[in-house]
Amino acid sequence: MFGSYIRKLRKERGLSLRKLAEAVTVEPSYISKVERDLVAPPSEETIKRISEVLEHDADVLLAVGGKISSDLRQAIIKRPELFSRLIRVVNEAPEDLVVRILGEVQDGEW
Amino acid sequence: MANGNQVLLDGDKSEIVFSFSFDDKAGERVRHEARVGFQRTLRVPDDGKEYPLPAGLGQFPLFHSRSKALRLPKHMISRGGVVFPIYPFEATWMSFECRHDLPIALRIAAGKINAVSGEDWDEAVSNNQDYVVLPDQYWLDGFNTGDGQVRQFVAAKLGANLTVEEQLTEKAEWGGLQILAIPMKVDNYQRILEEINEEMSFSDRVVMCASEPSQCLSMEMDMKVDMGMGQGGAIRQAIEEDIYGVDAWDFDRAQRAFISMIDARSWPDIGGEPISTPVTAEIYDREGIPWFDLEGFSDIPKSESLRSLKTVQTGMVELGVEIDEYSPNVNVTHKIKSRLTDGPW
Repeated sequence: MFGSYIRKLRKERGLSLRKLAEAVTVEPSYISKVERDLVAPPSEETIKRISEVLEHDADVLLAVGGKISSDLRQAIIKRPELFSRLIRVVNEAPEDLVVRILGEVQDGEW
Repeated sequence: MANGNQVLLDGDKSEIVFSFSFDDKAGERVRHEARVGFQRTLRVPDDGKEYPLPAGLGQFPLFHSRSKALRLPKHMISRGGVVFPIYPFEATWMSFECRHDLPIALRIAAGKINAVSGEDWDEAVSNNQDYVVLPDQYWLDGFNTGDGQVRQFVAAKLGANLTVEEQLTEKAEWGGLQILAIPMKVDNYQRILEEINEEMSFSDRVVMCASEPSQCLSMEMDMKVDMGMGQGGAIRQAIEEDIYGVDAWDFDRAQRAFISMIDARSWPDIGGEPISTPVTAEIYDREGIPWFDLEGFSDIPKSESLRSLKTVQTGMVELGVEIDEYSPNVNVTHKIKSRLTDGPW
């Protein structure tokens, strides 16, 4: 899942595997294994570097990799009840309602 | 999003929120924002006279363009951002609010034509001031035609060569409004935080007004619902000079939003509630709604290209369309002088 997600993003950006590896400062063979899901998703730090190169939201990439960024983890630990309730409510709400609650304005092609 | 910079829609206040953050010298996260709303207002006459600032009569409602509750044309959905319904020939002015007095620059365009410089839309670093600076600029009522004057933002349907975009590009492609919000370089903010001065004060320009009953003018649904901005009558308003200079701004952290405008008559067909019709000059006079005069500090040079365009009214006359109802006589009464007052710093 994580591997194919990264591969799709990389292709969309027109980057070769070697170029991505170079920008993230890891070996191309490692990226190749990651993309084929032959190894576990990289560390938080590496995923954040990948997100910068691929211009993708780091939180989303971490979530796809089954991880959560350290600042979000801290926020949840600080108010565990609130966040567990929030996640359960959001999980069951229609997407349109969630977008309205969050208020986030999405950018598009123009 | 992880860095705290994002564009939000405050649905309760009908404002777009450009939110930024940075670390102060003590390492504490400082969050600040610029808010932009679109005020309903009277369209001032396009009669060769210069008018003071008409009052704000309430915000246009804003909606996510990707809201599943609306059946918007595909091209509006793909542009993202927000959408608001506005009637043909209805005027608007943009209201700004800058939290914590930490300056943010806004590059504003209509149909991807810069409303300050008249140049094509660009997201690169500026060489000259082609943006307004908050909090010094409280409002923007129209296109910068210079000498302390703007030409009012007046909505017009795309396709009749009435909008600024069509006249300058010979295409009716984009319509709507576009905003690039540009924060300062962090070291500038850190310096300003240390010198933060007392807030400036100014008169509130928004008044309550008895609105016309809503009308449901269902029209045949087609793709020709896009609205753009043309030029209306002349209004006395300065584009405040950027006292920080073009190098102060961090274009790498800038954020943008596309604001589509859709013909309010088709709004119910798209899935929205009927929209109140624009306030007429008659109501404005009858209700004794005041006019405002804001004496700014300084002005920037005019845009020659914006100055040379025909107004919506002139365009309508050329098309042979009866426009009596769109050229009201209005009496400028109840004028409120509102001068910027600076505090000690």
